[in-house]
Amino acid sequence: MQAVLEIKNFTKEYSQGKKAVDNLSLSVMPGEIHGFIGHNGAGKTTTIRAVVGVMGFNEGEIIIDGHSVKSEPVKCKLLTAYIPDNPDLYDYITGIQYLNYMADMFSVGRKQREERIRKYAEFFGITDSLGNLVSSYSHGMKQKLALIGAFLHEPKLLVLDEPFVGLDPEAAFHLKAIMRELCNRGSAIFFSTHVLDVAEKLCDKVSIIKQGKMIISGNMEAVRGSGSLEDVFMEVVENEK
Amino acid sequence: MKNRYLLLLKMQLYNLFGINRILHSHSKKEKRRNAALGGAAILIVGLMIIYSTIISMSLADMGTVNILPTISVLICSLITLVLTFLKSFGVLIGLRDYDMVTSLPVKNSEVVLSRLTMVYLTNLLISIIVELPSVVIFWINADAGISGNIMFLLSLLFLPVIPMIISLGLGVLISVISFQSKHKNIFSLVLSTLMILLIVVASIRAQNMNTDEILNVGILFSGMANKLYPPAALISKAVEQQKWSYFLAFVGMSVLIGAIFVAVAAHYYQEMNTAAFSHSAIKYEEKGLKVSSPFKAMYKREFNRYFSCTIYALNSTIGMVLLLVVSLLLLFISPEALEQQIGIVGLSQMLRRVLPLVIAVFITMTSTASASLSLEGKNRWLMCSVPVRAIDIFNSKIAVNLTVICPFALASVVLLGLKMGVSLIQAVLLFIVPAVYACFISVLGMYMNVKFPKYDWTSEYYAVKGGAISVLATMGVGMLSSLLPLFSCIAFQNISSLIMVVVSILLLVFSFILYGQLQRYRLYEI
Repeated sequence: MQAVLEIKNFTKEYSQGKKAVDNLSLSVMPGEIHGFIGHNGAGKTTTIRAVVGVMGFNEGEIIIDGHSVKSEPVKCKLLTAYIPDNPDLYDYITGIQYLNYMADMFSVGRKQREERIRKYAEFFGITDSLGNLVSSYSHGMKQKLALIGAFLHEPKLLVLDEPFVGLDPEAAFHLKAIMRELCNRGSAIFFSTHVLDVAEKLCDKVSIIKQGKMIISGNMEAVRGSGSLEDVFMEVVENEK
Repeated sequence: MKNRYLLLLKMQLYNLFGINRILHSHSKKEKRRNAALGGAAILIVGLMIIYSTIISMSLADMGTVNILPTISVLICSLITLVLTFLKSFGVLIGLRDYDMVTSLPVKNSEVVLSRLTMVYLTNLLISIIVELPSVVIFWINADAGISGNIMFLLSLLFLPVIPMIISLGLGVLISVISFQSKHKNIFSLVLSTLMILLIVVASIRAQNMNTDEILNVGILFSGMANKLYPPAALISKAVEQQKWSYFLAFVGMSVLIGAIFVAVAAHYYQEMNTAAFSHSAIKYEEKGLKVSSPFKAMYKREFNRYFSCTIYALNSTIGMVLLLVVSLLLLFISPEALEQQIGIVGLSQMLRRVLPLVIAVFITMTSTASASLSLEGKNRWLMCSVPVRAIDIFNSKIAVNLTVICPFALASVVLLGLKMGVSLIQAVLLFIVPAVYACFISVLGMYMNVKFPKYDWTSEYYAVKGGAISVLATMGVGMLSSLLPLFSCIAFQNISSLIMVVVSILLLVFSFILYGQLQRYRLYEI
């Protein structure tokens, strides 16, 4: 079976020779939720930005559903949805204008977009606010709007950077359900988080990164062993000091 | 499937002049305010078109209607060149929505083209203001046949392209060079200032190339066009000789240069932005920390903000830099020689009298305060949550404006005062009038920004330029406040000192009123 996301020997070097990410490799299979864990500044966001094609990189290869991010960026982006850690949406448009824009960008048909917007907006409880300007939204509402925009084209690969920050408990519950639903349909999810409890319950696979280098990666059960993910994280991070 | 380039463009157009906010805001106050601003903007554009028409009609009356195409093309290109350069830093590199846009399934060329189209559309407005009246006057007065007139009219669409690309190219180049520097913003600011001075000096030099030709205005301008900007000569020839081949050559040249720029910029787009967003970490070494008062802390932060944004610093300082350059240049030219060269009898005497207001014109071009609040953007929570009064925050922003103005103004006042040999009264006015204007423009800028803040920007460019009402209004009112007294003093030279004293008192009173208004504002209301 072909991996939805395959990162091979990815290295990102900034000026003055400092490596933000060093020779990182991992793969995410269809139907899999892959958690990406590490300290602040460990290289998670750098990796994610390279995966979604907003940042160039020096060495290695990133493949999405058989297409190279380097040589076929638009094809890769059509298959992907990305939510950054702090989605900076346009304040001057309404919620529904934003969703329509995203649907247009990903060529989602009228019937499908209407159905999906209705479904997800109700899920997240923001239907009544869709006609308001984004500037009037709270942080959590913006996060929900960005998530709905990401789900509209039912992406093959969903890439999320800290998706649970700012969400209320109900929305977090629905997000987890939608993530699972997407995976059941054959999509894959690659997300970074600091909330280890959520990662432990939700992820099929997990990778821990420190100072740009992969420390451990594998099935959740295998990585966790008899302890908790928190124990493993603290242990591997301490051992690597 | 919709064209993604058009979708990107549509999203940017939503933000132009707050159109979407007017349509969708539920606040009646905001709607009324935006509608009033829209009306004022239309009025200003209308007035500028009338002004441009008067100039074109004057040239037609002087029997020089045939040089209208060349002159309007030259003026339009020069304005586009300078204005685009001033905003070139926020168009392609380091935009806040970079991640969001680039993660969408769009080609880099589509993103670059959509950004360029926005700049093109604003420049097209300049073309319409400057050139459309010329086209109409030319059509009525000149004998260029239908094809000549049509070519002149159509040239309006392509006119902004080449100067716009030159400016954007220079801006991008400076940004890229600056990335290598440790103090990239200051480096970029210095390079940009030098570039603007170069453009200004080049245009001044071009006008002085053939002083013998001054008597023949037509020859002078066509000579200028050839030397300074060959595409202008192409349009002029196309219209004059009614040859489509010249016109098509101009169009082809514009399109080709535009296409090459889009291709090159698209190729390096990701690379440039990756460099712009990269920050190499410097290990912190503990050392003694300085303790400051809240005001000093805010002032220092505000000053750092000023140097952190090239487009902000460049736009709000260029007037003062130009003033200093003019002052230095005048050191090497005697007032009498200047009088002889320009050919206005009594110029040196007149200059001595109006010198304080000439300096004031440059000062009124300088307002860091008018964008300082807007630049807080999404970080304004920080400003709102610190335990200080709103007026203290405004004071720190006003203080930065004064800090930017004072050294340049003081140096120019001393240099020009010594060079021109002013009398005692003139010397007193030379210090007082610029000081009053410095206070006035600082308070006015702050007041305007409090009245018309723009926090929802995707690039600092939109807070500093790009239709930022507070900046435009401050510039407009400020320039009016200095130019009107200046012209009055030129017209009534005998009472010029009295005019300056009265105007200074009025401006001081007005500044106090505005400052009083500022004291009433609460930050969460803005």
